[in-house]
Amino acid sequence: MQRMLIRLFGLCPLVVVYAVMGLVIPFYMLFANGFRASYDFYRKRMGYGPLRSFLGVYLNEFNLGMVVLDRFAAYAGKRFRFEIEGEAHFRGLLQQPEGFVMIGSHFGNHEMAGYFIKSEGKRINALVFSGETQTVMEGRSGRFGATNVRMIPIAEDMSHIFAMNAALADGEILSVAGDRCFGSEKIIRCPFFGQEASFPMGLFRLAVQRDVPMVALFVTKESVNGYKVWVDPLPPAGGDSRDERMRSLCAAYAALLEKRVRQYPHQWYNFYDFWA
Amino acid sequence: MEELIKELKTKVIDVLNLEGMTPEDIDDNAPIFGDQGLGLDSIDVLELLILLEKNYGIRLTSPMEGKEVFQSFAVIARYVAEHRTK
Repeated sequence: MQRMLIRLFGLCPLVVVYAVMGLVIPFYMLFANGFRASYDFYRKRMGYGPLRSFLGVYLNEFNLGMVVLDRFAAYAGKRFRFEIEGEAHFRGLLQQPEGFVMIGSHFGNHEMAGYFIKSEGKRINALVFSGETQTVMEGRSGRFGATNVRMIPIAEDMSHIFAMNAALADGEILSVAGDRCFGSEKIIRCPFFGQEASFPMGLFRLAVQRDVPMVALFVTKESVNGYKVWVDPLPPAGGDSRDERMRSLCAAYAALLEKRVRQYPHQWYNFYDFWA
Repeated sequence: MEELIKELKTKVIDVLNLEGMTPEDIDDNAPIFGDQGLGLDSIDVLELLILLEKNYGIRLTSPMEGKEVFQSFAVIARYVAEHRTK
């Protein structure tokens, strides 16, 4: 199925595939598990009315569909346009000898960052879910090979922990999603859209212990062929204790994520009760 | 060696926030991981890696090495004594 999609993009304009997908989504919405959580997000967090919230769920699913299709289009060789906001800061971090943590999110199309980033000698190590299919892994490897991106799958034997630590010790870039708790029960509760929500502790603890900078990267879909990359630096960790420093970083990330989600409310893809 | 074991236990208790625990509460030869261990998870492994690197200049690079070293405090202390660079 995924290989067929990749072949399809060689033959068919992206906009046609989007249109077909748009017709299918209402049926998908009827059966999707995340409908309630998504609807509640627009009602309770964004303060939309019922109809606007329902439309919000549709647009959210539609955007998710587009970014998934775009990934396969990219594997098929399609080139997208990128506009970058905050590039100077990113270049500045690349010039430093130490590594840094680049926080991604289930927002926009973070994977696209791997196609445009020129990391100038600093390898990017992206922590990925190990359940990805072979086709996806091959597609990424094919494209990422040119941009110095290495994928680190989360593994039972904790090899990802050793690889993450080594990446930062060697002055490389570590890319991890900051808005999904997995692999460890350790979390940080931080204010997000007016109520405390859980964020994974690991990446903030690692950044504090290794004393490396953190930067949030958001990649938003702007048009059929265009993406915008937002480079949002996190302020240095504040506080006396390790826990305070971790919390300050997590709170800074949560605030940045909220700002971007408010700006692009249909491009955040967490279809469960994030505040549970 | 006993002093090093105690030093390691103190550092681990501190870095992993094992509240209410003292070095004397931990058996030198008890397994660190598993059901009878200290209830550590992957993030704690990360802390142990950084602790060894920052305090003793020891860098473990593979899970095989980690498994070999993080068996008990007695094993960690032996490894540290043999491989430390600071």
